[in-house]
Amino acid sequence: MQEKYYSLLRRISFWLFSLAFVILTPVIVYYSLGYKFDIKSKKFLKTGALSIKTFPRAITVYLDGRKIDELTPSTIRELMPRKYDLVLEKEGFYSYRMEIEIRPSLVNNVDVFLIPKIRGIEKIKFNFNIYKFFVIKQIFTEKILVFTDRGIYFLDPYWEGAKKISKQVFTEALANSIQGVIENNNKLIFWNSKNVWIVDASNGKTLDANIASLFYTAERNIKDVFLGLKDRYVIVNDGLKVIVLDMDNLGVSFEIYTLNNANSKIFYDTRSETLYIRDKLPQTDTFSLFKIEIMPLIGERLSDERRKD
Amino acid sequence: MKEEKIKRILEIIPGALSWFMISFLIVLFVFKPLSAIVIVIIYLLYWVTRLLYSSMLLLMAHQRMRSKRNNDWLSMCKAAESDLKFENIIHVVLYTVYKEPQELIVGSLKFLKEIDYPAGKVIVVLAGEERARDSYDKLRAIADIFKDFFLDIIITIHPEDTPGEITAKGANATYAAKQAKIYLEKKGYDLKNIIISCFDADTCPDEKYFSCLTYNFLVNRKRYHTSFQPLPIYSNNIYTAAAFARVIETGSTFWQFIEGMRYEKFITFSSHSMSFKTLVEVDYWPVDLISDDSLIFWKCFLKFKGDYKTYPLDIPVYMDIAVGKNWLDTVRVQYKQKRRWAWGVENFVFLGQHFLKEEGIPLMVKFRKLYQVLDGHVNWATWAIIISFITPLILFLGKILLKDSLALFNLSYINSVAFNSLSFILLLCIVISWEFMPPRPKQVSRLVYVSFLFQWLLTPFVSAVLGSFPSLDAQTRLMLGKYLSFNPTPKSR
Repeated sequence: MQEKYYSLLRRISFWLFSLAFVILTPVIVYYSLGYKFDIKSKKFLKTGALSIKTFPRAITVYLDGRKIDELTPSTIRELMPRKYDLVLEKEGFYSYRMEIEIRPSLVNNVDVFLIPKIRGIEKIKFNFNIYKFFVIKQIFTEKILVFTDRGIYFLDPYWEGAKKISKQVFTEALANSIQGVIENNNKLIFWNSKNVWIVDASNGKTLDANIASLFYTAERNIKDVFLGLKDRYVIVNDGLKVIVLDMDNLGVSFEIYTLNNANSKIFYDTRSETLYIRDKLPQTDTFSLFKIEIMPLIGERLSDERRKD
Repeated sequence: MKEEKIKRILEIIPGALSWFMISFLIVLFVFKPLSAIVIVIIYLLYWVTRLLYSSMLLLMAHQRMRSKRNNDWLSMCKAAESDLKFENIIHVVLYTVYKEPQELIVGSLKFLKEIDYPAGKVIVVLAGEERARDSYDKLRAIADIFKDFFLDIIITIHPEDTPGEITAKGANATYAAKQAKIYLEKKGYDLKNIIISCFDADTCPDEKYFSCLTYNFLVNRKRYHTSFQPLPIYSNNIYTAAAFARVIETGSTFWQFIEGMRYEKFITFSSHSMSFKTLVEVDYWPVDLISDDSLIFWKCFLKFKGDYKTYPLDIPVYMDIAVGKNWLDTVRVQYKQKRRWAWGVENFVFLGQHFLKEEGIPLMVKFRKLYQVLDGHVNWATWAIIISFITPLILFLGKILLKDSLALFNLSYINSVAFNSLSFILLLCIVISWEFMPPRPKQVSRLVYVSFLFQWLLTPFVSAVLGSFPSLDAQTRLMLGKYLSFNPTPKSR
């Protein structure tokens, strides 16, 4: 009896599932291709779809003024091919309005980033007069360096406080002339078109010692500044020459290349310790590219020496 | 000559069909992407329906097993109304042994000793192989341990290189059964009353297996036209086997579970039982083919002109999960084992050849059975590849080439529905598989249960790599005429 019951139940399930497959498959395939049966015209009409993704999610969608039940991300199917007015709304964000076109058997993919309405913005907790700021990118975070009427500071990540780097005050005009900043091993290097300064802000130093020292003064305009040679030197292109300055021993410098043109550019790749120079060829109007690979050069010099010995 | 040609055509059909299905979708996508997308949608809908139907069968099979498990089969045997007498029923339990270690066979016989059926009515046949050099000594030592528990223990050693045979389990089982027949006739037993169970060396029957088998044998009016199939549960070494191996073997158990609900399609697999009289009538297991376990069913089916069935007993026999020396070796061992199982595609050739000669079976039945075998094997070789690789490939390429296609957009949605249905079935599997778990050994941490839960996440990978690929491999070899040799699964505990 029980075997018969199972057999019957299995046969019923088999036929039910087979019937479901036979009936539903054409419906789903037609639906997937965008067909919709219109009862009024008693015809199959080809429709399109609209897929909306937003950041942030859960945005209310209005299509031709009609509110869609589903919040984003959402897909609106069975849309007749024509143009629609799409509005995306969420409290606290600017409304996003656009015209979209729905085409038969196609999906219009809309991907929108909503901008929040700006109400109150965060201000640092202290009332310094900020002349200039730099964002120094690091591996996981960034540091903000500010030149103020009270000295040079690093802001803490939460803007609650600030770490004084140097008590030296640059005038507003001088601070605004600063073009770039490099930080390495608590040494801060910054420059404008004429000068390069260095501040040694390592913990061993007292604050009083953290005076921005004039590191280099150019005869013309400083074009490029890089850190290089195992991060021990600052490499400067001053429009006349490429000069390297030892960060640990101020005053020690080497002119390693004389440029042929004031518009020459340099780039120093710290990974391969290679200096690239775009410079004019002598007695021509043509610029070319040169490179100086420091590490092979060191090896070459050492083998020269061994050969002499 | 003509027969040879027909055989080759039959060998080519399954592999050619599988390769056609796989390559057709890719080629079609290149030339007619929309048509390919529509076909994949239909294919996915077919599989969702099939998976949901299978989960329905799984639930029914589970319910049926639970109801059977509580029966007092031995008392039922004694009270059974039958033309045979319970007292006269003798069981021959044949263990085919190759290089399995002694402790593994001892472990299996310990299980046999603990059954609720009177062990005094059980004759054990330990069928060794001459090519495993220490066979006799090993089996003799085992027989000495258990000689007092069973009616008798017979040791047979299958001679090496017998003409007309291939190196396969079927040849060994047949030799042992023939020796057992001589023994039984000498002792005066009537073969009508003998039930033979052909077990792998690692098969550990549930305590109620033989009483359940005996009852169903007694009450079945077509007992000589019926094979009796236990539920193979691969759990003997479940706590030490790799997670992916557990998933694939539990999948095999569930597959048998589901198949057991489809009486008219159900055939013997791995360890099984049948009347000794019938076995003799059909001239034993095939000795020149690999998949002896399923072919014995088809031999009976042909012999009795289609009037032969396999009855699912729903009582488990516990077996080992095939494992290797390490994780990678387990992948290799599992792959080879599944390829050997998939070599069951030779049933299609066997049936096709015999159906052409056989006149007593209705044409419709022949077609149905051939289709059943072909459908099973072609789907086995293709479904996981199409679902796990081809469909994602079409979705990926489609997003580049047909970014705005509504059909592609909906295919992506239907694909996620298909995976959700798969998750639903996986959830069912997790719940049901918990019932098959043997007690946790003390040395195994409770944390193992966490891996038992998360192992199911490997299903898409396992279904393709250890499901479809070995099957496609087997079909391709058959198609190219590169026949598989029997590769025994290494077993150790």
